[in-house]
Amino acid sequence: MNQLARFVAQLTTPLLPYDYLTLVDPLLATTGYRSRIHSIRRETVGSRTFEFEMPKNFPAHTAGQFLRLGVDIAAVRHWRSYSITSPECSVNRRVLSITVKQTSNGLVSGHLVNDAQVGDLVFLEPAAGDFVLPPAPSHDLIFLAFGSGITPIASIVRTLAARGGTTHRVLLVMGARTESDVIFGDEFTALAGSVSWLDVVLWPSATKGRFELEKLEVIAPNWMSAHTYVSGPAAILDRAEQLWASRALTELLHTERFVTALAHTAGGGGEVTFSRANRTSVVDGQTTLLAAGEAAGVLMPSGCRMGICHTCVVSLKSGQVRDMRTGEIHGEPGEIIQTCISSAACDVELNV
Amino acid sequence: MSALQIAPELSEPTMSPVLDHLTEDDVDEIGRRIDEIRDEILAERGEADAAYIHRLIRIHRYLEISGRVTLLASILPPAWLTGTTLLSLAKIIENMELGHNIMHGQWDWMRDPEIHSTTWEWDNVATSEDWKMTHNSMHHTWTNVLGKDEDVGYGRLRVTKDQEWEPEHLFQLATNLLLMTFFEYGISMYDSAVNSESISHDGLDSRKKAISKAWHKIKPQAFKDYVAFPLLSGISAPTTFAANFTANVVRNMWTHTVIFCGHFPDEVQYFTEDQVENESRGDWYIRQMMGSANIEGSELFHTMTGNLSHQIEHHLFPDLPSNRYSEIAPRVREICDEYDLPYTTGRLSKQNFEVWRKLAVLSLPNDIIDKLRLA
Repeated sequence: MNQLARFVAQLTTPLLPYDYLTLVDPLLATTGYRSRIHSIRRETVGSRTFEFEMPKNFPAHTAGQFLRLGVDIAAVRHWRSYSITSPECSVNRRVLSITVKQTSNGLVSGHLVNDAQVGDLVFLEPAAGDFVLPPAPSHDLIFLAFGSGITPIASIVRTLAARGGTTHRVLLVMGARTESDVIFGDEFTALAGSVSWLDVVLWPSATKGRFELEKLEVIAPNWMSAHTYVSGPAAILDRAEQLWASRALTELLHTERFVTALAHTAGGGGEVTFSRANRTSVVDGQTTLLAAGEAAGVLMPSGCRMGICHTCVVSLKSGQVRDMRTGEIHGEPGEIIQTCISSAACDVELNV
Repeated sequence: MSALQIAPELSEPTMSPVLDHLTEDDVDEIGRRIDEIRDEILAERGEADAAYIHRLIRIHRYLEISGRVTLLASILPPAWLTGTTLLSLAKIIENMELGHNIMHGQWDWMRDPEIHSTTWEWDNVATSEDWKMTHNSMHHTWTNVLGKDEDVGYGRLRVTKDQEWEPEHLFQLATNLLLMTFFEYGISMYDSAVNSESISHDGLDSRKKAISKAWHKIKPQAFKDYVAFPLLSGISAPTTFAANFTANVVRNMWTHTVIFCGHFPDEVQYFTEDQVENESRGDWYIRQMMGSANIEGSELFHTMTGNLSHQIEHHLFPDLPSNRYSEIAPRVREICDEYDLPYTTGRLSKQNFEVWRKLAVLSLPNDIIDKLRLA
């Protein structure tokens, strides 16, 4: 079989056999993972759950992890990270779901929530992340989920439920502006009513006010001995980290952040990391990344040095860059950028 | 004064006369207007363009499959003729509208790793990596600058009087015919030679390395066309072998013709390194326009040349999607007309005649050409 495959590849060289198979079905591609949107379910006003059939050989995820999802919007591939909301997979359940909440000006979230259709092609990269449940919890668990921060926790709680619960207490606090904004509010309230190990507290801030971590003791007297998982806006994560640190309990706290380094517009510049060369360099917004790399002694590929020949392209690992010809600021992890006409718009890491 | 006008040492100025009438402001304005065209296309670029390249990719793959399958019965003359035609068309589209343009980064904006300059490998014995170096970086940056752009005559042919005459040029019509027939091997050898020279400072046996790299590309290409598919054809093996050879040669002759008509017709100009010193953006654009020539034809014709029939527009905007060149062309021509700059264009027959006539004339030394008043 292997020899046959090799022979077929020799017939199609320099293309691969799948380049022809994809004429029939794009899912037959063997590079990268592909799937189609299998179903779309409305959760709240601005949030939708998308189910995908798990691609062949897609590595199983651990509850709490996120995956990278690629979609083509106006013919351009965009990648974003989304927490997986489905429970850990079992043999008979090879389905993945993510739940997306539209953010203001969110290009990808806006596309998914408003325009995506069942059957749309999506590109997936395997799950990653360490905001995960230990295999066998040995402590009580507290989950504090705010807004779309519920997404990784949903997978964790669903996985616990699928395993038939746990011998420890589990408290789930779900915060949002109003009760109807709480994603999965009904599902987990119902679950708490039918099992003994789970308690759920809905926290609509419009009526109850901001959730004060200092008052956690009121609903969770065990908080100083329990493992607490917090997922939500940066401000509450910061406050949680301060509180747990002040009690020397840092190892009991797990947080999930959803932020990426975004460009601050004026001037630009920042620290540029050339990760394979293991070098860094601090540059201003007027220096090309190519020049910065060369000055730092990195073996940068280069050609025309004017943006036409694409010899100098490298992939961006983090941060954003400014196109010095147009001033446009862009950059997503994995994006291929032309270093000869790009400058750092903030701290930038390049895969070179 | 424009930087392009400074050419003191050049005894036989090839280009300055047409530019003497331009002021520095004119050059800047030309640069600004060409940038404006580019910005407009960038702003519009989207799904319609993506649909074009996806369609071409599908067409290529169906042509390739149907050609290969038809040739399994190539012992029958009609099957041979049909299969060879389909395969020739497939190879032409793959090399020109797909390979050449994708490797220019024209479709990088879609961020699709399957249609990306960093990943594409083409159905040609020249490796994409070497070709991108000599073509994208050297030829496109230094278009028609003698001593910088090795594509001017590919190191063998004399295409301007400013290149020194050597006795081997006496036979350059034959050389060119040979180059045309085996163009892909010519490019492969030429890329290897140029690139091994430019990397020779790394202290390794770069020539050997370059040859081994070229061989790694040639081997599977030759195996596919000259061993695997003939064997699969059984009784049709010899005829399939001949068909594949023919398809490769047809593709070679076509690409060679299109490329030569893009850079070597009579009105195209060449430059010296001094002329391009301190070039402004406007100067660079003007050099690209003066150093290229278009070929007129139908929409299908343009597609079959990979839109390199719009060589002028391609040289101005090598990384804009090729399907846009035809709509840009009238606007570029308008700028040329307005500033009294030549815009070289003509039917394929005319451009091709001029190319071969030029090679014939320049096979002789300059003093004989002048004596005979050939040019």
